[in-house]
Amino acid sequence: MAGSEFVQLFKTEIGATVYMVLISSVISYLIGLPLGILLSATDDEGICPLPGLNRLLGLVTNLLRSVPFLIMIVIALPLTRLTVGTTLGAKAVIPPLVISAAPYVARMAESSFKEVDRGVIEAAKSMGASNLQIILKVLIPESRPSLLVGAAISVTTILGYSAMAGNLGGGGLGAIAINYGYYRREPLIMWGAVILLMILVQLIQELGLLLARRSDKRIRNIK
Amino acid sequence: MSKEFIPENLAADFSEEEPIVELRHIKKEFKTPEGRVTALYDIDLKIRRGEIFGIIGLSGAGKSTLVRCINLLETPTEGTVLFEGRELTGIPEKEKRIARQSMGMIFQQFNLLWQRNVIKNILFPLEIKKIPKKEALKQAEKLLELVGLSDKARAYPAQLSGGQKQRVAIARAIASEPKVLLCDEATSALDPDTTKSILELLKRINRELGITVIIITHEMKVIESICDRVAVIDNSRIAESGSVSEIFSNPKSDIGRRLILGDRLTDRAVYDNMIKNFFGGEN
Repeated sequence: MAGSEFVQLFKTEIGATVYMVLISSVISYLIGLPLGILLSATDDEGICPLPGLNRLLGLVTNLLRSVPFLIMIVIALPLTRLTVGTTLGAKAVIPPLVISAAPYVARMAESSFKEVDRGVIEAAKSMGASNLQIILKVLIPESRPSLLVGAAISVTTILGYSAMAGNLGGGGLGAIAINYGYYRREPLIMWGAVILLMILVQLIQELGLLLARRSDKRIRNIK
Repeated sequence: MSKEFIPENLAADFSEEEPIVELRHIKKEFKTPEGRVTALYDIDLKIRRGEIFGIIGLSGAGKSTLVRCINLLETPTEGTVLFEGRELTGIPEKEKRIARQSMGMIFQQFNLLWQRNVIKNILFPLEIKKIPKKEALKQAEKLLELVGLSDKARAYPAQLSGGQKQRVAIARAIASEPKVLLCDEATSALDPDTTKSILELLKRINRELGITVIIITHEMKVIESICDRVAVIDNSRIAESGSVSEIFSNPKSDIGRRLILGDRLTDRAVYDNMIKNFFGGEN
């Protein structure tokens, strides 16, 4: 294969990886964030304790998180076919990725919400805030730095999952590493893909931490 | 003719004036893994409109639970809470929230929103109350001026001292124009000088805005310096209550004596004075 073809290949597959990770992350957050809010709100120490619902949600979250991602791809095949119409390529990775990542995101968000000072929540209650107002005006803004750190961790985890999906026809950088590096014995290509993944992880992680630091007003002498 | 009766009528009106907050037979139990714990037992309390009322007790006596029963952050196990003659216990959650807007609260740890600057902290209760933005901002700026922090509007709580944080918390607590301000150990995390200035601010708010102030504390000095009446709470019960001068000159309960006399004996100034007097002004 000529060099330019490789460049083209990498370009396409980086695109596929970014596409998978981006879409999956957004959907995972759309599901995981509300789920995390529910988990922390219905906790015994939460703003609206509902032990039954909390245990049920916790159980579902844990069950989904216990399925290994490669197995999840297989289990989710019927759903994948139903929702995206194919079981191959980057698109097909999104449904199993979301099913695996959303509960992970939920737990990350839950732990961020639990870090919010209980006194501040009590103060909001004393001012007559409703639970919805507490969630929107206290829990989410006050835990924003922690949520951003969590997002960096979640998105890099999703990136890792997406690379794993390369093994089962998922496309993306993981697919290059497996197909060229392992099956076709071209270690250089494999390393190229791995290094690109490493750079992506670094970028996402650092960006997340930077945003978290920038947005955190708890630090003295900010300006 | 009838004019002659006015003073009498006024007097009668005053003594029978409806208390702004009334607690009747309040009992609060908590369930713990070790069984039920009674935090409050048969509490009866009438707080008059416009006064500064102190509730003093040692830590663990039930003071904080008591103040949280007033705005129903804690639901009493038994008994009734009346606010302006209206029963609050047992009303729907939504109405409780509206009632809470008439009762501001400040805390030992200030409990400001860390991610909001000072002016936005003060705007918070107005957002909750859905006051139009422009009007709310005007109100918040006025309050910031009242507490003497106009230059700190854009600062974040992390950049403020303890006393400044409590001033912001006070401005926030009275932003929704409450009739009562509940203070839960509001000066306990502050040094003596700052405590003094915060107490002066509370007194001003009481006098100028006519807000009834209810103060929970374990410090006799706080009661002494600004309260009109006081209730001494011990072991989940009210040991005694009355005007501050009454209780201070003649504490009837053991705990009252301990709190007042004990405090006097350890008070550095009094101690120094005693020494001075003893040695006849030498030294």
